[in-house]
Amino acid sequence: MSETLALLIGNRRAVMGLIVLGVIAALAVLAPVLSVHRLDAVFWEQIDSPPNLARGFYFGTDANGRDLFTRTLYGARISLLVGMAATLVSLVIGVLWGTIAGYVGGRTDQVMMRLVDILYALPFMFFVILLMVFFGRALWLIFVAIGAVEWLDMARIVRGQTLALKHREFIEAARAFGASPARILLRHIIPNLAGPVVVFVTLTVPRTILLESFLSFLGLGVQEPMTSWGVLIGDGARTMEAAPWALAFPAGFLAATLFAFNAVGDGLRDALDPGERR
Amino acid sequence: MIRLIRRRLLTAIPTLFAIVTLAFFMVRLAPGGPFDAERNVPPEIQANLDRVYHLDEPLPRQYLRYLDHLLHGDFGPSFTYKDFTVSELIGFGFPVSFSLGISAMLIAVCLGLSLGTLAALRQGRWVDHLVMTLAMIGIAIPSFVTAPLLALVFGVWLVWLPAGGWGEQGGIAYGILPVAALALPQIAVIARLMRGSLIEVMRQPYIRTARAKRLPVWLILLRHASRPALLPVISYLGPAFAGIITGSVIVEQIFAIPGIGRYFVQGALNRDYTLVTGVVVFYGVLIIFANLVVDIAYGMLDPRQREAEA
Repeated sequence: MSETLALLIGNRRAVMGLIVLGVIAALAVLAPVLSVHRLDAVFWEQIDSPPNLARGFYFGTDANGRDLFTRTLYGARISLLVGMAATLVSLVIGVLWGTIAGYVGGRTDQVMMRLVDILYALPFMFFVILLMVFFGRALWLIFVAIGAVEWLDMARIVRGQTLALKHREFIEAARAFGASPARILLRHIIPNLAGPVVVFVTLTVPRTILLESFLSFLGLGVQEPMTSWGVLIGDGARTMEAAPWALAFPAGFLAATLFAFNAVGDGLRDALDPGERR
Repeated sequence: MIRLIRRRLLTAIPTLFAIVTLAFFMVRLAPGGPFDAERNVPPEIQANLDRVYHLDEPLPRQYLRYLDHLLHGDFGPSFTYKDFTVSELIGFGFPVSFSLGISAMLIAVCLGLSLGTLAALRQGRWVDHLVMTLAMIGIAIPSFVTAPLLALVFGVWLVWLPAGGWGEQGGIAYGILPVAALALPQIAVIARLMRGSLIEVMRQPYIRTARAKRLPVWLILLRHASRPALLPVISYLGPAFAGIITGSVIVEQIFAIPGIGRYFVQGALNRDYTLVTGVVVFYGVLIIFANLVVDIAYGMLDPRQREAEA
């Protein structure tokens, strides 16, 4: 593990990514402390005005005269929260599905993976949109809908790893001691999946953040008075002629976050995969 | 080869069936009806409306009716565009969306392959670093950010191209910005894939042999390296196609283009059940078909798969 860490630290792009993520996460957590104005405070005389450091409008204001700095930071909270929660949903489904299919094997495995193949070919984005339209736009539904889309890759990866682990000596030993299949899965197989799963999680989080922004951009995701980067980018795109900063700041934050997650994920993969070492 | 096609067709049918069934029941089981937004109508009129749209029948009956109509290519009437059927709306939107999507796909493949090849041949040099940095940026910036930016810079500030709309006959000028917004992320992914696989292939012993024979680089690329290097790119084309379709939903919205994606979003916001279900099923068929074509192309290019089939 320390070798992996050393390799990761040696990767300049991954370190940059970690720093960017740390800064953005800190900004999101400290949002209530850092912002001068309230999230929903309206300044009638400040509609679409450019950044003004003296008055505390660091990123300017939007078309409703609300402070964009505050909204971008609070948007970060929602975007990161959705990213992590949806990834967690996909992680739980994917790991359970993949380990059970891989460990039980035989017909069960065939049926389970066949189902994954069929689901894989569905135009999922559209089903998420359907879900959001017809079942209201609650935040938890966004987690579940996105998580339900993103677990397929995880299940495939986990199944492959489980197949490789299944016949190792320590699993045989556990079985000889009379451990139940559930115990073997939970205590012996799942902990040994950590490496590839961690890599995949770092690459899934940006995908879920992107999906949430996509939905919110269309007005189908996070609803007012809450906000997320997707909502802000959508609003900013509508007023970009008058107030380009309203698009630039949230878009910049979103892009930086996606970039950083991908850099860290790529770095982790290179560090964990001995085949890539030179 | 024929066995491969047959097997793929056999998986396409349950997939399609799953799409239709999921879409149908998700819509029907959702709370609220398509006419909730209308003013309070007298119960007789409500009953009439329900009868016209067969909403008074039991669900399984409605489902079978929907399947039957689908098999005849009929997606039913639109609930919000009252004088049109869903098939007509798709018929209006499809040519527009199709021309956008195909142009974006072609440009993404051509530019992605050339940039990836260039980067692979100059591995570790500044061209490589430049292409890969641009690709990282292209992947990290989603099309719903690039599209408004392109409209702002080229449409509003420079006024070189229209910032939106589709013109009367859909002049080429109206298509340039939307196609660019759709193609950019795919160019980035294809360039990365091509670079990676070409570098791998160029390390193979048979390429070294070709080099030792002093074959010119273009001939090595064309005759020996391109085929195996293209395989990962080909298998990405299915997801790329799906990505462009999804992207077109956003891009058509931003540029106010009258394609299917725009009908879909409007339909979703207006709770137009039949329209939304119809578009999902239509897209599903398209994506399944595209995956089928990609699988067949892959099978033809990959000798291992060809021989395994024979």
